[in-house]
Amino acid sequence: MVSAKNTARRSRNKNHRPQTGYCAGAGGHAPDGRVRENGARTMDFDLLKRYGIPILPHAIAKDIGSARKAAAKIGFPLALKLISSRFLHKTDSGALALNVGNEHYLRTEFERLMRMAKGDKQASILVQAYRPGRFELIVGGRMDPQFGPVVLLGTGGIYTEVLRDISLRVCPLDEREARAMIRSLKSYPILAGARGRKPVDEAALSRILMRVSRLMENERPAELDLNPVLVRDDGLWAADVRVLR
Amino acid sequence: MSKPSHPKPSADSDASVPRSKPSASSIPSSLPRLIRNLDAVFHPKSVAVIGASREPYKIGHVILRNFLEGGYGGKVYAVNPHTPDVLGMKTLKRASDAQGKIDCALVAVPEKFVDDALKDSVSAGARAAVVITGGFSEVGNKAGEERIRKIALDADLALIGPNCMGVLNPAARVDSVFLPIYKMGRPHAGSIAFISQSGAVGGCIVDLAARAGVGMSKFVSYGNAAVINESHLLRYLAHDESTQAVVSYMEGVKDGPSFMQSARALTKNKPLVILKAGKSKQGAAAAASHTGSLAGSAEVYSAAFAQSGALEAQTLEELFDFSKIFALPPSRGPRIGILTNGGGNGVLAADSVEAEGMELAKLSGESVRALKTMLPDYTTARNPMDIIGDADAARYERALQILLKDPAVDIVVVIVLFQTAALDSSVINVLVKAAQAKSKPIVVVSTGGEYTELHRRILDGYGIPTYPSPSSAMRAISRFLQYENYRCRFHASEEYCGHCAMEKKNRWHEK
Repeated sequence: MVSAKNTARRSRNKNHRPQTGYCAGAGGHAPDGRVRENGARTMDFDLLKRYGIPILPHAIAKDIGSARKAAAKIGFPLALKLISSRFLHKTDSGALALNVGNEHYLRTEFERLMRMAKGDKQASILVQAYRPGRFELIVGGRMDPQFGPVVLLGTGGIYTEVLRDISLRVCPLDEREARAMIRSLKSYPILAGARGRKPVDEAALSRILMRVSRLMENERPAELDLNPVLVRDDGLWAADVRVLR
Repeated sequence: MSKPSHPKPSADSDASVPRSKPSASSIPSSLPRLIRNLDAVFHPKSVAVIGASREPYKIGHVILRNFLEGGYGGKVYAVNPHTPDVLGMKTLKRASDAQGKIDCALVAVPEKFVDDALKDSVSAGARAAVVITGGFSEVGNKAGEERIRKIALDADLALIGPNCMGVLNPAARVDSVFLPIYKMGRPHAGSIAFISQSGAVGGCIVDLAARAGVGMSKFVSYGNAAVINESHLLRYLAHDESTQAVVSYMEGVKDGPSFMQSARALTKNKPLVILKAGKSKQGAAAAASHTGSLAGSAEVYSAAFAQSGALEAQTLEELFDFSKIFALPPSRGPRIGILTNGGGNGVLAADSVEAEGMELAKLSGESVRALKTMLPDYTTARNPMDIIGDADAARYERALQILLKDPAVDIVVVIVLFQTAALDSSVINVLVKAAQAKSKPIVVVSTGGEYTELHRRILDGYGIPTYPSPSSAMRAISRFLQYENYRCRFHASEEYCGHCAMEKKNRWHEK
């Protein structure tokens, strides 16, 4: 699901014309901003907020008026993601628009997505800041039947499963272990600033890992994905979340 | 140990077989009674073989014979209600008929009689039992296993098994392994404890250890782990003075968090090497998220091992290779000096040093000068130090001394090609003398056939880790360094570390 989105993001559009792409399994959302997808899967941004995990600014809009208000608050460019129960079990049929650069495209893309969800009164749009990162990580968690909650850090994006460049720890995680996790990635030299790039803020990343560890221990969700977590000059940002209860 | 077995042993002690003396326990009273009672498994004052048999191919026969002929110093009882005598010993109808107390029950009766055998042993004073009998949870008989579990836990009976192959403590001549001695060798008393979930794999490793001359402090095949599981054993072995390193074969742990806790406590002082089998990816396929599919059971096990300070072996060969390496004295650093009488083998070794992420030592000027005066003109003085094909034991000795004295060399790897005409067996004396001085870790690599293997076994018997190839040696050394590094982490803030015997300012370990 994330893969299609990332493919779209990679073909950067210079003239603010939005790209369209597919977004998997969007569904109805609870009033608290927790978006319910297939059965037990939720796009639970509030959970991340409660644990102080930085997420890209976002809002959920049901009409163009609230979408414009959100846009004014968040600022362009934006990413729009359709959330509708009509696409509940069709992982390839959701839709999104990336790099939405101005009010005009906000309106046309918003309307296009809502048309796709025609007939679904619960349909809404996730309006999110569109901020590509210079590197994408995955941070996740899982309840292991033998060892309990575990935390994962890996190279994120579309080739996550191909590269399998991951580092794993059983919770709880202290700062020493969190730092060791970062350094044990194969892609660590890139994070550390290979070829003159700005190095990743290791302290901030280990804070995220420790907070995910605490989240896993307290909330004990079956699975948790923050993918991608964007590495940017202005910090680290989770752009998407999946929580499996 | 050296005496051959006697055809007609009797229960009255055979004066010609040296008998072990009961040894004192080093297990602190702060541990739970269940774990302390493992003393009766490894150092029983008396044993009862329940299900003793006249038939040589039966388990109850083999085990009784092991105790009667192996030099065990405690009292032995044979229990069998249907046979008046076994191996010249009068049998008891039940364990509780014994005159004195029974410390450890060795149970080899069919599954339906195990309950009674255990209850009876408890009433005869047993603190421990080794239940060889199978037919419990491994075949779906959960109720039967729960029953014996309850009997044992009610009495704090340290029960090993069921469905296990037995226990060895070579120093105390305790041997309840049901594989006959003429078919499976027994290792001499040493410092490696080996705990194995699988009896079959356990038996293979023990047999290999015996053949290679590697000593063991304990061997436990713990089978279904109904009562005593790997965590209990690790807690016991952490305090066992005769054990310096623990090696484990497992297919899974009973309780993850308690395993990690026990392993962490152990690895503060003793290395733990684990071979985890059953790493298929099937479990991960069903995951609904990226994390779920990336963090499968095998990956989590590896993470848990690493976080507990345990070293993971990927194959049986590695398990065996890694277990030997911990006989080495502490290393003062990661720089490897290589000595060889064969150029190509030296180059292979240097490649393996790099492949394992270690450092090839740069010899000091003094060493180079000393080498130049010592070696023939047609050689060059550098690391790997090639003392070439006409080297004899005396040249090995002089070159070895140069490497041992060089402050730029932390670990010495000696490649010995025993095939050369110039070299005779006396090089073994040179190596043993140098290794026993314990000034630096010394590892020997010898690749070859029967003649070479013979010499390698002799060196292994002296506690010098030897390997059949440069790559296997370097891999083992890298694990040795990894553990040294891990252990001294606990002393990072201390001015003087008791493990590596180094001042803070001199330590090489990663911070």
